[in-house]
Amino acid sequence: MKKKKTQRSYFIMRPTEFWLLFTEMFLIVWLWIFCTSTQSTDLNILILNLVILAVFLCSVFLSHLLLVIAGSKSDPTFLPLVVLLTGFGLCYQHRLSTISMDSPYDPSLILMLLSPLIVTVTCLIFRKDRIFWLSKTIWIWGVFLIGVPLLVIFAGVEFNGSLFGPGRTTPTELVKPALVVVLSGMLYRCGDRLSKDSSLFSKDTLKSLVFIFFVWLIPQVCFIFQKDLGMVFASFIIFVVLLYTATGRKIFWILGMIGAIIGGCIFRFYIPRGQIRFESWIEPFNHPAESGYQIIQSLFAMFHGGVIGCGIGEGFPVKIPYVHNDFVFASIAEELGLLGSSLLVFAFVYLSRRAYYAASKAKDAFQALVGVGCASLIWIQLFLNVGGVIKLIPMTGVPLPFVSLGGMACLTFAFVIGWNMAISDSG
Amino acid sequence: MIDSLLSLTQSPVCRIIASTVFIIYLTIFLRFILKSTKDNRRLPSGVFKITGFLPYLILLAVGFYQAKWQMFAFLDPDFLRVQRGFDPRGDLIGSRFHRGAIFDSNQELLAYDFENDNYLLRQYPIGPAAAHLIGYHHPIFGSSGLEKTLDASLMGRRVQSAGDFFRLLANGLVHRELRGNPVTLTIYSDLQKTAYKILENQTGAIVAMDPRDGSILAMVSSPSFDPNLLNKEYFESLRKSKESPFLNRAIHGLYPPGSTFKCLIALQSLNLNLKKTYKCTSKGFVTGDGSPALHDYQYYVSEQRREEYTGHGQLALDEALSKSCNVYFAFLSQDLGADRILEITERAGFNKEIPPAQIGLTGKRGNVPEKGNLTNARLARLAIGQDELLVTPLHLALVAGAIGGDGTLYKPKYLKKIKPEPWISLTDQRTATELARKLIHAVEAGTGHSARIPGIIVGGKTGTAENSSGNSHALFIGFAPWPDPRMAIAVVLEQGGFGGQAAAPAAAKMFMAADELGLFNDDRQDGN
Repeated sequence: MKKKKTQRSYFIMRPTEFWLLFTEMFLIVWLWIFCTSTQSTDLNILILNLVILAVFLCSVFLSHLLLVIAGSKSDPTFLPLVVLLTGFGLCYQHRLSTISMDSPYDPSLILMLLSPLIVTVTCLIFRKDRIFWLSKTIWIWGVFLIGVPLLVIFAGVEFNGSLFGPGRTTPTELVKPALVVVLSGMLYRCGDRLSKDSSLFSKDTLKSLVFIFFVWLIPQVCFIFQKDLGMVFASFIIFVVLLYTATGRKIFWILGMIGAIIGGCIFRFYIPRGQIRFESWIEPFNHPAESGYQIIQSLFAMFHGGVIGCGIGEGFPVKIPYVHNDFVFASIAEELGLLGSSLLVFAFVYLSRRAYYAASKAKDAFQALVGVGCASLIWIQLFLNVGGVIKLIPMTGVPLPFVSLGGMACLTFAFVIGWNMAISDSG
Repeated sequence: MIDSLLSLTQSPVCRIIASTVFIIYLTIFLRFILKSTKDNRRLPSGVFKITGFLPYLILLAVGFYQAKWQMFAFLDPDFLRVQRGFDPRGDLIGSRFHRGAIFDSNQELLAYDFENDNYLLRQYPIGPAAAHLIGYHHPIFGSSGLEKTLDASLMGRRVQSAGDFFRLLANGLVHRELRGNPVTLTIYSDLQKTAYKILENQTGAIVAMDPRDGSILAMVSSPSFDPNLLNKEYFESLRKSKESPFLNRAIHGLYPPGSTFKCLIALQSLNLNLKKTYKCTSKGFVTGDGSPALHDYQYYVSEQRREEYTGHGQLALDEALSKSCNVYFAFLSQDLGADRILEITERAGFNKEIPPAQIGLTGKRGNVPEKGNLTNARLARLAIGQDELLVTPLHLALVAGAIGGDGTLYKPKYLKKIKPEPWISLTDQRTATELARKLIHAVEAGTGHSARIPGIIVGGKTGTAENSSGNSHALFIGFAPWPDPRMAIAVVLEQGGFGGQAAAPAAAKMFMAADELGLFNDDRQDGN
C-alpha cells in the first residue's frame, strides 16, 4: 500500500487531506454564493469578496502543496478542519457586511485569509521534534507571559470597561500559548519529582508545586486587574489540566474544583464589574434595554433560528451589537439553526480531539504536555465564546477563533494548531 | 440573466433549501473526517482519555443549553415578555406569541394585545381602576398581579393534557405563532370603576365579593397607577413615591380591624351562648394594673365639646354591637379570656395566608398577638380590634361574607370558570344568621346607619381604628341584600376618620352600583 502511494503524483501524497479539502471547497463556495446574494448588488464589493475568496482558496491549496512538498506525515484532518472553520468565518463576515471598500486591508481579515498558511508554516518549522526548542527558550516565554499583560495595563486603551492593547487589539490572546509553554516546560523539568512514584507531600514535590503555582499566579493578578475574566478562567483550566497530565494524580481535579468554587465566590462578591456581569448573565430580562440587551438579542436570534434555521441570509443580525465579532455564533445559529451551529461546535470539538490524539502519540513528555495544553485551549476558547452567547456562562468578550473577526485570536490559534500538527509529525 | 438568478436565490424558500443542503453537506463532510480517522481515533486510556473527554462534555453542555433557548425559549415567561417589546422581527416570523385577552364577568375587555410597529403592547381599557388586580405585563418593567399569576394560561404555556404537551413539543421543533387562551374573571369593571372613583383621592382599599362562592366582584387599591402609561420616568416616580402606589393594599396592606373585629368577638359570645349584659359608664373600662382606662369614642367627643358623657348604660350584645360600645366588649373580653379570643382569630384564619381558589392572588397573612404577654388591658384593646391585631381588607371581606352567608370563608375566586372552594368554616349557618341580624340592626339603627339604602336590607359593622401616626383609619364590613346576600364588602380608608362617616357611605355606593348592575336580582345568570 505505502509504496503505491509514494509512486503517485504530488497531489495524492497526502490523499486524505487532499480529498477532504477538495470536497470542502464546494461546501465553502456554496455557503459563499448564498451569503453573496444577501448583499446589495454593488459590483465593487462583489468583486472584492470574490478576490478574498480566491485568495483564501489559494492559501488553502498552497498550504496543502507545502505539506506535500515537505513530505509531512502530520495528521491530515487538522488542515481541513481549520479550513472549514475559516471558510465558515469568511462567508459569515461577508454575509454580515464586515468587508467593505473602506477597509479592504483589515489586518484581522488578512490574518483570517492566511490562517491555513500560518498553521502549515508553524507545523513545518516545529515538526520533527523541533518543538523541543520551546522548552529551551522557556524564559523568553516567561518574560512574554508577564510582559504582555503589564504592557496592556500600562499602554492599553480602555474600551467597554475592559483594557485592550494598543489599537484595540487583544495581545493577551498570545499569552495563552505562552502560558502553556511555560507551565509545560516547568512541569517537564520537575517531572521526576512530580511523578506518581514520589509522595505528594514530600518536601521536593511541594516545593516545585508551590513554585509553579506562583509562576502561574503572577499573570493572573494582571488579568484580574485588566478585568479579563475569560483569561483567568482559561489559564485556570490549563493549569489544572496540565498538572493532571504531568502527574496523573486525580486529586488535582478535586483541588481544581475547590479552587474554582472559591474563585467563583470571590468573583461574585468582591469584584464590582464581576457583579454587573453576573447579574446581566443571570437575569438579562430584568434589564432588557441596558446591560442585558446584547445577550437578549442573541437569544431572540437563536430562537428565530429554531432547529433547522431560517435560511442563509434570512436572519436579522443587525440588532445584535458586535455580531461580527463576539456574537457571530448567534447569527450562525439563527440562519443555520441548532443543527448547523452544533455541527460547527462539533468541528471545534473534533479538532480538539485530534489535538489530544496527537499529544497522546507524542515522543516525549514535553511534547505531550504542550499538545494537551494546546488541545485544551481550543475547547476552552470555544466554551468561553459560545457559552457566553447562549447564556450558559457570563460574557467574557472572547472571540471564536477563525470564525469571529479577531486578528489576535486567529493568529494565536493558528500557532496553537500548528504546534499540534507539528507534534503529530514528529517523524 | 445574473439578475434573475440573483432574485431566485433571494427567495426565502430557496434560502431554506440552500441552508438545508449546506447542513446535509456539512454533516457528510464531518462524517468523512470521522471515517478518515477511523483507525486512529481512540485515545489511550489514562490521562489522555480523561482530558480528551472534556471537549465532548463541552459539546453536550453547549448543545443542550443551546437547544433550551433555540427550541424551547417560549417556555420561559421572561423571554416571551421581553420578546414582545424588543424582538425587531415582529410578524415577519412565525415565532411570536400573542397573549390571551382578559375579560370581566360581562365579557368586557380588561387587557388585550395592541400591535404597534412590529411590537406588541399590552393595553388596559380601565387603566388605574384595576391596575393592582390585573397588574401589568411590560417588556421592561416585568409583570405583576393576575398578569403574573395567570401567565401560563394567558401565554398558552399551561400543560393540562397530553395534547398540550405534544403541542408544545412540536412547537419546539417548528416555531409557529401561538395564541394564548383568553381568561374571564369574576370581577365587574363597572363595580371596579365605582370603587376606584370612591377611593380616588384617598388611600385605602375596597374588596367586594360574592359570599356564596368567594368570587371577587371588585378589588381596588388606592393610590393607583396607569399601567398603559408605564415608562422609565413614570415607573421610577411610582417606585420612589412615599404613598407606594404599587402596593396592592387589598391583599398586602395590613390594617387594624378596629371595631369590625367586634363581630368576631360577638360571634364567639354567641357560640358560647353567653348572654351577658354590662353596665357601661362614663368611667370606661379600667384594669387594676394602672393602664389607662378604655373609653367609648363618644367620651372623647364629649370631652372635646366640654359636655358631660353619661355612658351607654346597661347594654346587651345586640345594642353593644349597634352602638359599637368599646366598654362592653372590653368587659366581654375579660369574661371570654385570651384563649377564646385567639381561638376566634385562628378560626377566621388571621394567622394564615389566604390561598386563592386554584389560581389567583394570595392574600397576606394577618398579624395576631402572642398569647404569652397578653395582659388584661391588652386583651381589652384586642377585643376592640386594636393592639397588635392586623389583617388585610380581603380578609375582612371574607369574614363579612361568612357572616352574611353560611358561616364559611371561601377561598377568593378570580376566574369565572372554576369551582368554588371552601377554605375555613368560621361558624354554623344558624349562628351566622343570628349575628347577621345583629349587624343589620347596627346598620338600621346604629353606627352604620349611613350604609342604609332604600329598598335593600344591608348588614354591616363600622370600624374606626386608632392610628398612632395620624388620623384614624375608617373601616366598614358588610353584606347585602338580606336575606340572600350577593355581595360582601370590606372598605378600608387610611386616615379616613370615623368608619360610620367615611367608610359606610362608600359601601352604600358600592351596593347601589351592584344593584344597578343587576347583581341583586334573583334571575341573575351566572356560570357557577
